[in-house]
Amino acid sequence: MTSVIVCPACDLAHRVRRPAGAARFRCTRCRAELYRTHDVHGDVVLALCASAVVLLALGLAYPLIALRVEDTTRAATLTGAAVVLFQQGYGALAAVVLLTTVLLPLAQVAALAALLLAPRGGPAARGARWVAVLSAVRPWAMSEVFVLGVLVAAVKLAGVADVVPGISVYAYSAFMVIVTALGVLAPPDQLWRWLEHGR
Amino acid sequence: MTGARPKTGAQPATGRRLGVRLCLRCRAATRVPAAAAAAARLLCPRCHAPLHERRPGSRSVCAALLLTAAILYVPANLLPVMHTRTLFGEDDDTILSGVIALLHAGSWPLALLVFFASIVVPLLKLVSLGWLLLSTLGAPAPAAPRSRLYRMVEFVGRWSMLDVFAVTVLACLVQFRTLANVRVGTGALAFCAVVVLTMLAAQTFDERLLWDSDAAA
Ligand SMILES: [Zn+2]
Repeated sequence: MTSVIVCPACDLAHRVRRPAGAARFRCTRCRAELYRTHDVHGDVVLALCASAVVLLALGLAYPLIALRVEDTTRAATLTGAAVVLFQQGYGALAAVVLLTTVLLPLAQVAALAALLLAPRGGPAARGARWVAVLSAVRPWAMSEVFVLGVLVAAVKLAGVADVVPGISVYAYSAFMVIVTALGVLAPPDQLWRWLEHGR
Repeated sequence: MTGARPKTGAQPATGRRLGVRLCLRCRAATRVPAAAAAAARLLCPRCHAPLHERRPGSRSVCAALLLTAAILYVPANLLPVMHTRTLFGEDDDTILSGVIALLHAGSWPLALLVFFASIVVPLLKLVSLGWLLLSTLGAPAPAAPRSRLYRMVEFVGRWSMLDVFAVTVLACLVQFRTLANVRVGTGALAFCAVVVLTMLAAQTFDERLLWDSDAAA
């Protein structure tokens, strides 16, 4: 079956034969990725979604890092950090931090799981909703930037006090890795393939 | 695949020339007959999102976001992003003094990273998006290098949040009553706004505008 694919980046039209299996091709003019699918089973992706949720729960429940000054210890959790911002009068900043580090990465995982669990061959408009959510949310999910931000904070404090890494640093870093992998495993064409043919 | 590679002098076979519109939401390509092209509202047959030839208001919305970001860039760099109070006195840190502090902490790779993410990248984004926006209004110019610049700007934009996250963690961690405590400063709010606004500006900008004004070599 041949069809027309229009490059979203430069508007060049390509006539292509849509392959049945995994494929990837780029725009001949601007090299933007036009089409990408893979053969990773949907169940594997669902399992990754489930482990991401568990890791995020651990990441929220335990402290990221703790600081020991003389005989007092103070631990920072992700939600605690947002609360402190809010208490200091920066509600907007607290909202941005919570959205970019917790809510939107979680929305990304949830939308992907919902798409994979949706009945196959349902109305296209319903499937399109999940595809749209995933592409809108992706740029705003910043788990990997946050992990680096924690590292910067730890280095700044290491000279003046004892910095102790908490369970959450490992759990959240693992969550970040899985969310990044899910991003790679969910190109729009693959999402449509799952919607049309099931996982 | 048979790419419609443009020959020298020939008009490239774009969606616009062929009357095919791309849905920005679900990426379906829809043939729009010339008679229907003028209709006020066309919907994608697959997902029912509005179909436009180019993102509507791309230039003006992007320009407005950029301008706001450029204005906020000044307080973001001049105002302190955090106040530190210890037994030895009070200290205000701006973005730049934070980088210098990191350098003194002996971690130059991290200092370099924060310097790039917080100082170079926001400035680069403001200048290059502004220039790209202007380039779509002027005489045709080669689109490939402009497109590469745009993609780089879009790719690195998110890393500017690094400092906001670091300050957040510091403010939560360093709360030892009179011994030492850290408060977030107004600069962090302005800086966060600059990052969000420039990211929105990059997303609003329709990359196809660069190729519309391509001087195909
Ligand atoms: Zn292209």
